[in-house]
Amino acid sequence: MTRAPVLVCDGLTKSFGSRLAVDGVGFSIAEGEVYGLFGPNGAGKTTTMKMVCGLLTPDKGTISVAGQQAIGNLEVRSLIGYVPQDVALYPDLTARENLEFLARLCKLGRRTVKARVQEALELTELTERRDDRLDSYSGGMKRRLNIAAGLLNHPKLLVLDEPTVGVDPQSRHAILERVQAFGRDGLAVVYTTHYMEEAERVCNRVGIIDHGHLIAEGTRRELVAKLGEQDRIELSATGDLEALAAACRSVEGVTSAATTDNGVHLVACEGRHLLPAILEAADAAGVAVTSVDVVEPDLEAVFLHLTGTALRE
Amino acid sequence: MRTVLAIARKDLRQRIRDRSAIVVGLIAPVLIAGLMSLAFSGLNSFHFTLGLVELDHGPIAAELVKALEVPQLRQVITLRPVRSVAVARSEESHGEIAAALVIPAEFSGAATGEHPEALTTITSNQATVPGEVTQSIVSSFAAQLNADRLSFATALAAGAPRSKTSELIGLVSGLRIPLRALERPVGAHELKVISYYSPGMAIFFLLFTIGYTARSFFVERSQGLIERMRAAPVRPVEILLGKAMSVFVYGVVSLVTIAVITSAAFGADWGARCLPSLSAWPLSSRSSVSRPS
Repeated sequence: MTRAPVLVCDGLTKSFGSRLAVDGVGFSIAEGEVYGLFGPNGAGKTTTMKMVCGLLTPDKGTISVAGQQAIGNLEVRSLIGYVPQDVALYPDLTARENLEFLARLCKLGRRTVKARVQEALELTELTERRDDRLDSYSGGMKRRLNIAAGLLNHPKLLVLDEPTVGVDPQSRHAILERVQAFGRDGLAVVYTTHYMEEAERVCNRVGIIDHGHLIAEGTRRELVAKLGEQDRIELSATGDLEALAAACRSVEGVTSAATTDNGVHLVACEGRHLLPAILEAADAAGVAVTSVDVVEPDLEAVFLHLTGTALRE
Repeated sequence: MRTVLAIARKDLRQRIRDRSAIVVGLIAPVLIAGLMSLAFSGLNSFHFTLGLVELDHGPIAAELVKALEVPQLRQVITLRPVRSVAVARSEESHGEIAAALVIPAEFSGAATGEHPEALTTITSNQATVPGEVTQSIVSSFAAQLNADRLSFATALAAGAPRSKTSELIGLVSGLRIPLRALERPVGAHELKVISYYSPGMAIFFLLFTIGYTARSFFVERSQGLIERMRAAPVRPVEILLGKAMSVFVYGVVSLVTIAVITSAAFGADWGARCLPSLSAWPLSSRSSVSRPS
């Protein structure tokens, strides 16, 4: 049975002065689906999310949330839970005070506020520390509370804007688990990230965005299938990396090559068989290759294949 | 309205927890007003000692001395007889008297003759006000005296017999200049410095409070907190009203507390001075916070 779409965006366009930040982006998300908006920094992910949440008005395009037209519609915001990229909570208030304040902004009744705050504190396992000021919390605790604050209104659509930036591995793992659980519970989730492994792990479907364009969309399998029988090869090297990338491109069977911080990433047909030729080309370019990895195609390889560049930080 | 109240309550809670806001809103104005009051407490009333060099001892000089001893001037001037001009100068230079009035010998006699003697005021460059006050009193007396002389001369010129001189003098001395500038002694109504500085300091520091609110708005905006509020079903105007309400309440509480403390501790008289400033509050606090984009 086809699940009802919770969010439908069509042709979203937004410019800041002469800079086109988002250009004709469209996608839809069904209930219980975790949709990843994957792309490098500055790709247009946050701008898209802000338009969905009503914080920016699109120049063009339409947004519908749970069947209601969302642009300029204040009531629709009560259906959306927004978790911003940075922790947006008051450091001089306690966890309980922060949550109570944000719950009141959602126009909830006094009893409901109390119940939802309790629920959020239990979810974040911060009940014991509810009366401590937020500036005494660890970064991970603040992040957890930041996410819980987005759930106070029991939204139909949860928008998470890079919630794991600057988070330690343990907290990051906990956050990703929680996001997966939200999807299982039937919530529609939009998850923006520039971490490939996060998008692969938590998202049912991924939209790849770069320079304001949605360049590909689908499940991980569908996206990787775009590469065909191609492999991703990671070369670590010292020396002129641009020369190495150029040398690799000249090898027959290599479809794309892009430099990274300490080497070159390649996408190639039958990668394993091409290794001798690639190493020979590297040698001819005067670059010393220190390690070679042939890895299963992933979203990063898809991004490289589609854009011809490695993911920017 | 509930949203506005929630924002105002949250802001007030933050304000109360911020010690610098307590210092700016309460402690600093009371402290500075108190210090100002102490520093300028000597100016609460105006009083000086006037040296009187009375070398005449005639009837007109006696009238002048009487004019200086009227009850209205008693709170302002203390007369101190001085033997000579030299002694007066010496005492003035040592600060024992603030100014001196010299009534020359034969002053009374000369006042009715062709060549009247001049009254001299000795004053210092450092304390000009006592000299000006003395000069003003003497000028007023001289004006009355000249008016009497003129009246007497006019009566004689009009043919009044010289045999009735004493009657004429009696009549003339009863006349008063119909139009003249009246001086009210400053000391008759006591001006309390604390009554001036308390509202002044309170309102001055309230400006800091408004500035603090405006600054906190922009800090919240840079930290994404305003954005988070706007992601909820909240109108921008509700955010502004909530913030304006918090600064209004904080301002009123601050003013009232300062008024109570300065009145109780220093005896400041606030009267109705704070009412106009209170009425201006909502406008000033709202205009200091720009509408969120």
